[in-house]
Amino acid sequence: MIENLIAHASTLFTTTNVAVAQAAGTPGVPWWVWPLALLATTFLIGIVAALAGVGGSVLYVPIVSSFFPFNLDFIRGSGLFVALACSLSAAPKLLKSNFASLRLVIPLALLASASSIIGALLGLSLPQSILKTLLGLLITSIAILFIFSKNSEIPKIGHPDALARYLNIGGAYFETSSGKDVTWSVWRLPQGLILFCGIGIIAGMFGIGAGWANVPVLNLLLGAPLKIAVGTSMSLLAITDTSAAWIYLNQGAVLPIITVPSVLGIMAGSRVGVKLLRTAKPKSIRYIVILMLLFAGLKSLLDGLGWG
Amino acid sequence: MNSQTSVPSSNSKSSINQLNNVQASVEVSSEQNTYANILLVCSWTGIAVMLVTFLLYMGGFNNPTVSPSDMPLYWGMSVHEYALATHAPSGWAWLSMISHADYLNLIGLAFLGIVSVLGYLSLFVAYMRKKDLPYITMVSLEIIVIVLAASGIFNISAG
Repeated sequence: MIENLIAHASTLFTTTNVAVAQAAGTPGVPWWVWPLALLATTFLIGIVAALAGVGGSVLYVPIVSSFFPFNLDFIRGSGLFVALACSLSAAPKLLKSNFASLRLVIPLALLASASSIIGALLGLSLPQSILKTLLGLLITSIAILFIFSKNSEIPKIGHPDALARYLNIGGAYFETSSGKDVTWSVWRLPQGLILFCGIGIIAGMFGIGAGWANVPVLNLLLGAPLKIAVGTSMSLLAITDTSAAWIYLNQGAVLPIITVPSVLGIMAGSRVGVKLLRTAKPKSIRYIVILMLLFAGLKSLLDGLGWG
Repeated sequence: MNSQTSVPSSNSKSSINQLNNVQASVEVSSEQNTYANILLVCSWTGIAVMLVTFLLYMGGFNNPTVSPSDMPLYWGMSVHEYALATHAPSGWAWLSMISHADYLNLIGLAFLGIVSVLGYLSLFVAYMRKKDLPYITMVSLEIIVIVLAASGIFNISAG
């Protein structure tokens, strides 16, 4: 039954996007169709994102910029608020369950949030054609990353580096599946800090959150267990995206008619998605997400190059 | 290479000692708990404010400067073109226009933007009590970064 529901949701998602794309070329469409279509689309994005274990805004920005008539400036501004709201509502539970560590979040967030200001300023300065081309390349690369990246549940690590020891980064959490407590630490923190500067710039520039990059860096480079990597990434976004979101807000690049339905739609959808996740086998959803990212990424690339 | 440690719930003396040590760290620190509570309460408050003000805007109340029905004329423009066409304010000037429904909407969104600062202020106090100098420094710097971003000093002029 759940598989049928997921199949229906995917069909509905495609149908909605096609309808929206057709409406985008029709000047006579009543204004209220757009916020409603946006609410429906983001609700479905929220479901798909939760089932696939990705952040909503990585799907939001390329899909909405491909199918809706809004300017990319406003979509990126909304994307940051989408990521911010999702992170703020999910982080408390993760922090209280010790699936996120503030001692790890704080140093990474400091560099990522400072860098995201640079990214936001770059994003608001560059011509749209260049931004769309870069966004297309980025989204296509993320799709390829999703195909090939293999996360590790509990990675093996070497001795924690001097900085990680000095900052006393590490902790423990209860693993329900095994009935064991898992203690963890990290290594290669300096390299991680450098990468988080780059992640911050990309997040601010394209408004796509950064969970897609945070998790592999935390898990595969720093050696944090996957659950800690996901929880810490989600808690990090609340801070990283705040700085960039303020730049977009101060610049006037946040239109409530786009941002509010998007935030509400994704938050409602992700809650439904999390409920479906308890019984669904979401592997096929991951492939759908990869296909959607490839499609949206290539469309953005072609638009940016003027071939769309 | 070390493996991250899994501690089984066994009865051996050494395991119990090890488990006790781990359980001490499994406990969530008080500052993390407080930070999580602040995020929880403030984020839902922001979202509720956002929803109410949006319904006012959509309902045509509070005299919006650009009514929702006129938005299709503007939402395809770049942010610079939009500002010129609608005389939209930049920086914090929107605060003086919150009598208009479209700018009233920004209250909830701006509130979401200060939630992290509120959380970090609680962390600053907690780390001060613990005299944890590295974390006092990083938390202070983060507050400065967000306040600078929010201040509007980083501004892109229309090209």
